[in-house]
Order: sequence, then C-alpha cells, then structure tokens
Amino acid sequence: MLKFKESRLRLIAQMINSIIKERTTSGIDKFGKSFKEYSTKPFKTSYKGFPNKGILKQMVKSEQAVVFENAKGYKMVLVKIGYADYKKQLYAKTNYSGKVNLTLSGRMLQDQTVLRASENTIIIGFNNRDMAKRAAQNISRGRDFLGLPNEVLLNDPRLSKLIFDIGGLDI
Amino acid sequence: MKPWQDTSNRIEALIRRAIEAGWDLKKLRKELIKVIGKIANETNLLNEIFSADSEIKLYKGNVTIRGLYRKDKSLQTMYAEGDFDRFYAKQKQGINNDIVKVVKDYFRNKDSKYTESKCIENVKAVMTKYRNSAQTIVNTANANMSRMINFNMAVEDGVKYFKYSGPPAEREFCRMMLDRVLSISEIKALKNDFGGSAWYSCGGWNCRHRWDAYIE
Repeated sequence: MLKFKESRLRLIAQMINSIIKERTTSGIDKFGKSFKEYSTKPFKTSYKGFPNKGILKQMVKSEQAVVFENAKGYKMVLVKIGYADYKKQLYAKTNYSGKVNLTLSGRMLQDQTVLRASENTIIIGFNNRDMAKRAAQNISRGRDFLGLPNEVLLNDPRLSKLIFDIGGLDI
Repeated sequence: MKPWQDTSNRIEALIRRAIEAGWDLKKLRKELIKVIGKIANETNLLNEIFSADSEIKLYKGNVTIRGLYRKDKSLQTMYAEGDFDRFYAKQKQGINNDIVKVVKDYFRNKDSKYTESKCIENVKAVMTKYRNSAQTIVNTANANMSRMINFNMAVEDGVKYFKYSGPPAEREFCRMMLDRVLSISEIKALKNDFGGSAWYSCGGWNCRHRWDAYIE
C-alpha cells in the first residue's frame, strides 16, 4: 500500500483542519449543506456562561430574559426569545447575518486541532474536553461539521496539490 | 449555602455590627480586609483562577506527551505572562479598595439617602464585577492556550502562513485583520489594540478569532 511521508501527511492534516474550520464558519456542514437553523424556542443557560452581562441586563429589562436560581442554588438565565434571536442580540454590533456558524464564543473552533497524523491516518479533534463535548452536542443536534466528503478531499485544489504530488509519498 | 450568598451575608453582618457598635472607619476597614481575605479563599474567584491553572497544566501534559514543544519555550513564556498569582493578588487588592470605598460613602452619607441596604447592594455589585472580570481572564487565557498550541503545531508541521479567521468582527483590529494572510514572523511581531500579542491573543479579551493554517 502506498504510504504518505509523515511530514506530508501532517501538512495535509493541517490543511484539512483549516478547510473544516473555514467551511464551518461560512455556515456549511460536512455534507455541503447549510446548517440547520437555530431554535426559536425559549431555553435555559447558566448565568456564569452568559457571554455579555451588559446585554443580559438589557434583555432582562425588556423582558426577553429572566434570571433565576435553580434547585441546586445556581444562577440561571431563561432566554425567552430563543437561541436564534439571542445570538443576533449578542452580535448586533457586527454585521452578523443570523447565519448558523457554530460560533458563539469562538472557543470550539479555536480548540479544534490535529490529534493524529501518522500511518496514513488523520484524526481531527479537540485538546479540551469541554470543547469536545460542545462539538458532540452540535453533531447530535444535526449540525455535523467534523469531516470532509471525498469529492472535497479529491477536488479541492489546495488539498489535491498535496495529495497527488508524488514527492509526498514514502517510496 | 453557596459561598457566594455567604459572602454577602458575612459582609452585611460585619457592616451591621460596625454600625451598632459605632466603630470608626479605620477599624471597619481592618475587619473588612480580614473578612474579604478569608472569603476570597473560599469563593469562586479563586476556584476559577485555579481551574485555568490546572487546565494549563493539562495542556502542558499533552504537550510533553506529544513531544512537540520540547525545544519551544513559548508555552512556558505564555504561562509566565499569564502570571496568575500576580493577577489574583491585584484582584484581591482591588476588591478590598472598592468595598472600603463603598462603605466610606455610606458613612459619609448615612444621614441622607444612602441607606444600609443600598450600601450592601453596592458591595455585592463590587464582588460581581470582580467575579466577571476573573471569568474573562480565565476564558481568554484558555483561548490563548488553544491558539498557541494549534499555531505551534502547524509550524512544526511545516505551515509557513496563517489566515486570520473567524466570525464577522466587532473590534477595529479584527475588522482590519479578518481574512488576511501573514507569515509567522509578521504574526509574532503583531500587536492588537490592547498592546497584547496578536499571535496568541488575536484581538484581545474574549476575542473569537483565530489563526488558521494557510497552504498555497
């Protein structure tokens, strides 16, 4: 079986990692389709994890959110307007279009990395356990972003240049 | 009872005691600093800092196992730059000063509209402010670690250029940088609007951007 040189395989892995991040940020899943829309139903989140307390104050004032304590005594936020509008409110200052791009704090994609690139095998994953959980949650909600279809793998000019160059093979 | 509720109760009790016993400000300040020092060791503020610290140790563990950074001191430099001990000491001092200021205001104006409950409300606001800022520091430090690990790994793997990527930008620096491709040396020399290194902190506090490997 033909084998890639390890140095070449690592470069291919880095390229794949970048392509997945770029594609996810632009709102496309691993099958080439737009991500499923964010929910419009009310949801609960932790007060601590709420990214912008100033906006939370405004939302509470306009009755779009309520702060409460749960049974365990932890401060929580009930966002009545649903995740889609909540995200629009958070990033109202940017030209955020409301497109689903799996980016709220940006931490998940910042942490996405090449875990293995050896023996003709590439594994893309996460260093941080919490970010891995976040990714798993996104996938379980029908927003699968981890992976590349064969047609991209073979037709993306940046990748095919690396894959089909004979100099990258261990022969 | 959660430490957070306990904090407010203990400060409240102390202020009430001071008022009843007619302490002077000097004595109240001394007692407050004692209580706050003790509380700071029990509240989330310290725990949050320590959780970032342990996460950094975890990353360091990964790094050693993968053997990618043996020659590279940047991770250690980052850890030193994070300087959590100094940050924590500064935060604690800030809390002390701000709470003492709130109580001083109360004593100055206690005959007017400045009620006891308003004073306690303000003390709580000071604690919340510091907790939130601790959270920002921890989140930013974690993001910096991720960026630095990915960047250094990509360099080890032969990547020479990186693209500033992420969602639509809020800050001027990020707006200017978004989608730009730079070389390693250019990135390492780049400063963001806060004067920090854009290499691992991109646009600064809570920045959502990153450097993606770019291969032509």
